[in-house]
Amino acid sequence: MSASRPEHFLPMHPEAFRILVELRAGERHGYALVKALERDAGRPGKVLPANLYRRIRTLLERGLIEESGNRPDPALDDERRRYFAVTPLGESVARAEALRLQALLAGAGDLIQGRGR
Amino acid sequence: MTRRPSRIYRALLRLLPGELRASFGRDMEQMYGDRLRDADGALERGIVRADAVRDLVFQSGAEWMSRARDAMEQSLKGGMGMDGWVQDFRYGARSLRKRPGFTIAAVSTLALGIAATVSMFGVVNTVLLEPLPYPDSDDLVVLWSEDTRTGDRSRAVDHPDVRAIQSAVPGFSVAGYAGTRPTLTGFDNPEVIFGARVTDGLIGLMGLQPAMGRDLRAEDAIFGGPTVAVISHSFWTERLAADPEAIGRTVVLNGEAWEIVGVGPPDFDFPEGSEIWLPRRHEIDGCGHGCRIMNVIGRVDAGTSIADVRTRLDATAMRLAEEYPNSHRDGGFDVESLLGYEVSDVRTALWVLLGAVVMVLLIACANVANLVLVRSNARREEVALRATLGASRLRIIRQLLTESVILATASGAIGVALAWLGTAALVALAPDSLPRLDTPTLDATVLVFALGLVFAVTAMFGTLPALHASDVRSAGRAGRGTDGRRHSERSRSALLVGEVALSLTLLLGTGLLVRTLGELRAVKLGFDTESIERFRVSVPETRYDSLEINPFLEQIEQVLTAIPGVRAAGWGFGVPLASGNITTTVELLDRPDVPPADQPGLAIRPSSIGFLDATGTRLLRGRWFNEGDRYGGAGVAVINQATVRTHYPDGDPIGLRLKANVSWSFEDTPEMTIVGVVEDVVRSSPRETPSPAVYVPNAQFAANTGYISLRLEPGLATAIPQARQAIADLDPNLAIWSVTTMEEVVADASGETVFYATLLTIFSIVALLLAAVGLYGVVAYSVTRRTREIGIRMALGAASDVVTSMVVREGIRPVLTGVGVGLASSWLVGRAISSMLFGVTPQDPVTIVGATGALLLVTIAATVIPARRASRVQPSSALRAD
Repeated sequence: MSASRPEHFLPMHPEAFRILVELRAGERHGYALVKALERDAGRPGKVLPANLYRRIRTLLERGLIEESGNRPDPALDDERRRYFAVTPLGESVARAEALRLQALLAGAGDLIQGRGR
Repeated sequence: MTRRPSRIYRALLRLLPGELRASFGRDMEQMYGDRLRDADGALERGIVRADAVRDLVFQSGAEWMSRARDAMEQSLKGGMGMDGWVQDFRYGARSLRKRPGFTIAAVSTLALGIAATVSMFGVVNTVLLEPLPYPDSDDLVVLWSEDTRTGDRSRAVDHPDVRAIQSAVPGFSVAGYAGTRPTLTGFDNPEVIFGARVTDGLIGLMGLQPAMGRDLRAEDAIFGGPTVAVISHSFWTERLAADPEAIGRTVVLNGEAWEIVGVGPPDFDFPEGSEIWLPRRHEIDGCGHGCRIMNVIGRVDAGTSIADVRTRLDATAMRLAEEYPNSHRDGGFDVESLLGYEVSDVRTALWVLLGAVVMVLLIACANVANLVLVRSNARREEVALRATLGASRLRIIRQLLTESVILATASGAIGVALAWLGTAALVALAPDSLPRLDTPTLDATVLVFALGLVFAVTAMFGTLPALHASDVRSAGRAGRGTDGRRHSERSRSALLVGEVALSLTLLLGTGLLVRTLGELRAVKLGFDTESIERFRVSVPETRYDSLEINPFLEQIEQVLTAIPGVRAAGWGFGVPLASGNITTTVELLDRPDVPPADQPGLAIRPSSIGFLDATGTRLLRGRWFNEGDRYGGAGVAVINQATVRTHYPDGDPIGLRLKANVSWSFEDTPEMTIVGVVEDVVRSSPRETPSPAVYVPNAQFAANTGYISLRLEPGLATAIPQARQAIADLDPNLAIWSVTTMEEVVADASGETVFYATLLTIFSIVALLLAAVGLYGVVAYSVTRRTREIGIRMALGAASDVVTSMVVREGIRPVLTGVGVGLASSWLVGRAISSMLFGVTPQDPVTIVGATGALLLVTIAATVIPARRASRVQPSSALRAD
């Protein structure tokens, strides 16, 4: 995919944004990604395989993530698993989305505090 | 740790599009395995499995919808909007105009198929599907009287039964009716008109109102009450000039004056053809229990179910059986919808005919599909170029289908126009016995059917060629490979197999019906048909008392016999292939083994002395009636062979006695001695086995209505004008009706079978010709394509007959496959038309061999012609051809 400006990918789907954020912390395979997403207290419910891999496919097509190899995860079993990592474009898009959300939340600080005026 | 593969999860993965499944299916399966492994306990594993199903189902739906949305967006950008449609239409029309031969062949083939199908559906719609012209006609039923022991059914009940049902079955309104043929005088000439004696309230029961005056009431039926009548609307308009003062006028029937109290609603003539309705009262005496001459029509009231009515009728039948064991033992009643009853005899046949004509249409579509396939082969480079320039497959398919839509629409328009003529032709050909076919119309239902047919036809002949031609991958190899051509040839062979199978199916059905006709015509009728005329006459009881009726009939016979050219005249009631029948229980006095409770029901046939000579029915044993068999003398009877077989199988019945539980004009029928046996006579249809019957001398019975048969000298065309005059000289107020010849009577009896067989024959011939033309086209095209190959073979020494047999063999292959499929379906054909057959089994070997032989003959001929052309290919010119 040709290089594009990060703003062209905004707004992002929350699920896709979370995937980019987790992959910024390091490459992961699918199940590890799922575990990380479900650990996130702000994200209720489970991440199911077909749902996850549709998002991954879209991120791959847009060049925001890339495959980074096939190898086993010693913590699980000896099966080879596909690992994904964020691309530089993906990093830029994630940053741009975070700034967009920050601006969105700028005027809603009291909501986060829990009491209205 | 190695996971166990999940077959179910893999099966569910197939819900996803192939591309997504190929890219990530293994990963999803891995993750599912990981979750299962990490699940704590059976409950959690169950939740994992349920989540997996939910995930795949939901995500596959979302994925397919997303793809559909993307395809639509892309299509609109790629010319799939309105501009694209207009462009495709113009291009398609131009393309068809450039090839007039192909276009005319395709349109004419399809138009004929559509016209035939729409015409046939018009008839089916009018006869079977249109509701009856009465309000809430679904609630109208006819009553059947049954013998629960033998299963025999009849519409005839006795008048006391009608009264019993009226009072004992709530929620069920009934009216009884019996045909009557009074002589109307006071107009130009005495004329017999059709009418009915009815119980009260017939018009109201049908949901209608009289146009003037009132309906017949219960008090009109009181014996000795006023003579009142309701006339039909057509009687009022045609004979009384729509007189607004008609109520209160009188009409003279059989010399008796009847006051008009009502005029029926327009177009109402139930039972069919009725011009006048009279209260049923004169026949109460002498025709009570067991004298079954009435039919009953009923209406199930709102809120009552048919099941309730049947339950009540069963109870009523049981009560009547207890009270009147002689006449009602083992009796039962049943009801059937009026529409179902009216069309029951023709329903199967009409649906079979519609199925047959649809088969012809399918064959026509297959032929046109083959034509289009050939044409699409020639456009493969054009398609490849369009694909290269960016046209999606969907876009190409749409453009190709647009041409098919244009062809089908033009064919449909011409076909519907032709269907007006086709329907008129069907009505003209149809026998009079086909019900409800007076005025078939191509109404909205039929036009909607025609529209649906056009869509179906487009899909049938356009889809396969469009899919094939738009296959860009094989189109791209056009000219370099043979994959596309092979695929096209396989498709065309498959179409041919279908055409041959359908043609054979039609031929089998036709063959079975033609054999049925032959069997019907071979049935022993029991009477002569050549040079015999017949007409009906009724001696009015109002002007002739019981002792005068038979002497008057004998006088009529004498004056008729005196007409030059008339060899014999005879009178009879219950004559062959005619209306009018009395069935009653008969005591077999010399059969002590037959208890009174088991008295058989026999048909009673009052006849004159001259009856046998006039009709040609043969006397087998004993004697016929003579001058000595008079009123007051010893009672005599002649029985038919069926009575002998059924009730006197051992020994000679001559001299044995019997007594009928019915009388006509006299108060009682005497005890009768059997004096003769006559051959069985076909009574209501050649298909039915003659039932037991007893002939009685009319001198001892005095039935006043029946048929006179005139046996003429060979070569004499008719004696009817002289007969009319001779009878008018005796009684100017007596008219005759139902004039016919016995040849016409017999022809009418098999008229429906002739109609069905004729139509099926036409369909079969058309289907066979279409299949032959299709086969010829396929083989001829194949020869053209293989000219170079044939040239090489012949250059290498192949003889021309070898080339011919090679081409024939290859051409016949789909035919043989089609014959196999057609023969396998023959049992279906037999089942579908088994109720239409007579004297021949559905798997009749003669028909199967004949139909298959005819098909092979025609198809081999269609193959040989192009094969012989192939054998005349010049190797040198063939090798130069590119």
